[in-house]
Amino acid sequence: MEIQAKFPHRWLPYLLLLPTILVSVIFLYYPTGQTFILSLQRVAFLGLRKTFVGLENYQRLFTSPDYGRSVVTSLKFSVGVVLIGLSLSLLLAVLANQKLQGARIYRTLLVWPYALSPAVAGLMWLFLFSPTVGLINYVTDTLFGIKPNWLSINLAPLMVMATAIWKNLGYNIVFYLAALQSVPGVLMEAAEIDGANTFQKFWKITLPLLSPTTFFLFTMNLIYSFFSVFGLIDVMTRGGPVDATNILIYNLYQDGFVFFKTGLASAQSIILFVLVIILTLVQFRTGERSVHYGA
Amino acid sequence: MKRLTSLLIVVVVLAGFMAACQPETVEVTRVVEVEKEVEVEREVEVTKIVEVEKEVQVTVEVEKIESTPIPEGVMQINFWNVLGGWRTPILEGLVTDFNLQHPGIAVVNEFKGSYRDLIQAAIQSTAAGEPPHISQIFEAGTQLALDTEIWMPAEDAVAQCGLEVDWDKYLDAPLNYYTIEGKHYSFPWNTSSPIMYYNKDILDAAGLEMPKDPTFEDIEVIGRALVDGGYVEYAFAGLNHSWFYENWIATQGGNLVDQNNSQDGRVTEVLWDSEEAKRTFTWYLQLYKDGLLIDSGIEAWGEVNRIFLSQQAAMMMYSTSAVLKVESDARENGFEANTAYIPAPADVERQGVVIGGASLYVAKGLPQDELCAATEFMLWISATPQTIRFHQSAGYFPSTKQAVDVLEAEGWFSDHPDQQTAIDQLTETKVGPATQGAKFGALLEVRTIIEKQWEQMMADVDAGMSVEDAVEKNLAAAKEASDVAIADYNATIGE
Repeated sequence: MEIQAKFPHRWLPYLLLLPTILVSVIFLYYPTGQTFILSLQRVAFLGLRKTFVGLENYQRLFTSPDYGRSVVTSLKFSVGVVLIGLSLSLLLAVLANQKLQGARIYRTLLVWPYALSPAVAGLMWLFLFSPTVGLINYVTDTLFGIKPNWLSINLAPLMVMATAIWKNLGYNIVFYLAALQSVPGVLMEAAEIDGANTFQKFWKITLPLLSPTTFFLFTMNLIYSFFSVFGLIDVMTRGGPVDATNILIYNLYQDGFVFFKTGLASAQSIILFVLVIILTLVQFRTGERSVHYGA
Repeated sequence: MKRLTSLLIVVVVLAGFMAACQPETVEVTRVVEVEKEVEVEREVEVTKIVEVEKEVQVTVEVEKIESTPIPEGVMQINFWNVLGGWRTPILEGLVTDFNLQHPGIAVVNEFKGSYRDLIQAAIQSTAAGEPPHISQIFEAGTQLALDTEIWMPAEDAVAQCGLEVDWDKYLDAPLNYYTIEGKHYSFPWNTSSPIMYYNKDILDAAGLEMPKDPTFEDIEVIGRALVDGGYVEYAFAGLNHSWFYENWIATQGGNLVDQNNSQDGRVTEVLWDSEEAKRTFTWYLQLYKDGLLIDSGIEAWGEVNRIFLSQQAAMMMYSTSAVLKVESDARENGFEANTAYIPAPADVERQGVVIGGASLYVAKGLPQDELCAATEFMLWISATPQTIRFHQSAGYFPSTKQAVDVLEAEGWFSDHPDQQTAIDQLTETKVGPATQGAKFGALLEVRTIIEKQWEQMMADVDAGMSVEDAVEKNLAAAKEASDVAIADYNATIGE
């Protein structure tokens, strides 16, 4: 069965689309085009002076060992945030989905971290993790007599990762909870009659039925870990120590807005754009095989 | 089991929530502290009470003025600055006073976040055809500001308006910093310099005394005695800010960059491999290796202050603009904080300090009447009476020599010996290329580079490398990266 809308005039659909198109052109396509043009230029002081340099900016990025390190840092960070973040969210969502007293309260509470701004969340965790005056080190010191330096090269990425995961838990849990509640009880009953245990029910029924949500969250979390963690990093580590948390988006910000290298930053922005497109395409390809829509 | 798990979740969430509330309480205590500080100042400064009260009255009037639109025929002058928080009312008091004294001019105080944000916003605003009349530009952005070519030399503005200024009335250190190729580019305003603070109570307990001008060796000896004697956890709280490294190099007479420390032309290299730089970092890294130094992190002003005030360290490097604040905060925490000159090696003649803070710039291409109104304001706010008031409330150095004399005659410095130390260190500074400051557009990036490299130095000695090797290796790396940054910058502006 196919449903086709009938419009009285040929131009009406275009007219209805016009606002969307206008907004997209002004706020998305035009800036993207401008960024691409800027990436081919050497720009002084945010555009006061410009010279065309071709692909020089790209060539510099591809031959820079620092930029290469930033790519690796970024990928590691994203893998950590997405994998650990999603597993933990699912676990918490399953727990919160149990029929217990006050379940609604827990569910509401679980969403709260998402409502915090990155700056607030970052400061709060920085305070908790502070090697000298932090609550976490106070506890570890009292219990085990150790005070790990969370701001050191080895531990800082973990600290930021933990904060980034915590910050996005609420978002993931909301989606997982909604998906869990739409798992049909009939299937569960049937499985129980067949003698499946809790683990089997989860693995064979719940998880496959959650796959569209997982796929969606995978993409959203990937984008989150690439772009939205900027605020956290700026507040917590500013990319340091010694670039240990200098992910691509932060590197871009530093070059563009701190050191006024607009051309170089534009080139990085284009690279980031292409990278995310590739990752999303790969996901769609591999995702299609394991995602089941509709029960 | 289910109950236990859910209980656990509640506990975790509650803990998180309580932690979320904490920063607010900190904020509140801070506000209380500031209020208390004002209180203390009032008690101490009997003679100034009338003025303080006037200021309070004026602040009330500010709200009135802001609520009504600027009347027809009054010229609006935008004053972009970065003095936020507890300093905002002080600045608004000054601005309102100016407006009351100058009918026909309405200076509007606009807070722009950080110094870097301000430069960024000014460039964008100028590109859009609406330059801010007055901008507060920090010392490290001097060359950058010049290269943007959107501000005009202060000296030319004064001449264009037929006004006269005796430039020599300004204190030498800031005046020299803001004079480029013999031309006065901006009006010296909120000047500060680095200074060392120490916890007198801890030193007293150990029976030690801090000299007014401690040497590198003094810090090591005193620090070791304090830590070994168990008087304090760390001797020295270090703020990882290039400004201090630059000062330690300058006080030995060392240049930071080539071209006679930027006096003779465009800079092409940074001298991170100089003897002065090596001596500085060797001393500093040794303190770290010996467990005497605790590093607060890159440009973490708040953190280093916390470490010092919570008495985890007996000394810290900080800015002179915070003398009154640190003094009163220390009192709140039950100890006395005093100041001393920045440490310098024993075997060199101390050259003094390189200033920090900011000065006031006027935009190019303004209509004549607006240009002159803006210039008048800048002259007014950097003049003796205003600068005295600003020093006593906001903490920065007064701008003029006369202001220092007046403060001295009024007994301000004998009442505040820590301010005396600060001003002495500044006025004793020997004029020369080293202390006049290295001015180049890539300075901000170079600062980031050395701060990063200092972290690497600490990581290297943690991993067992010797202090000498770590200093050698990382200064070489810093030099390489800094030189690239400078070449980049010069290429961008077409030189």
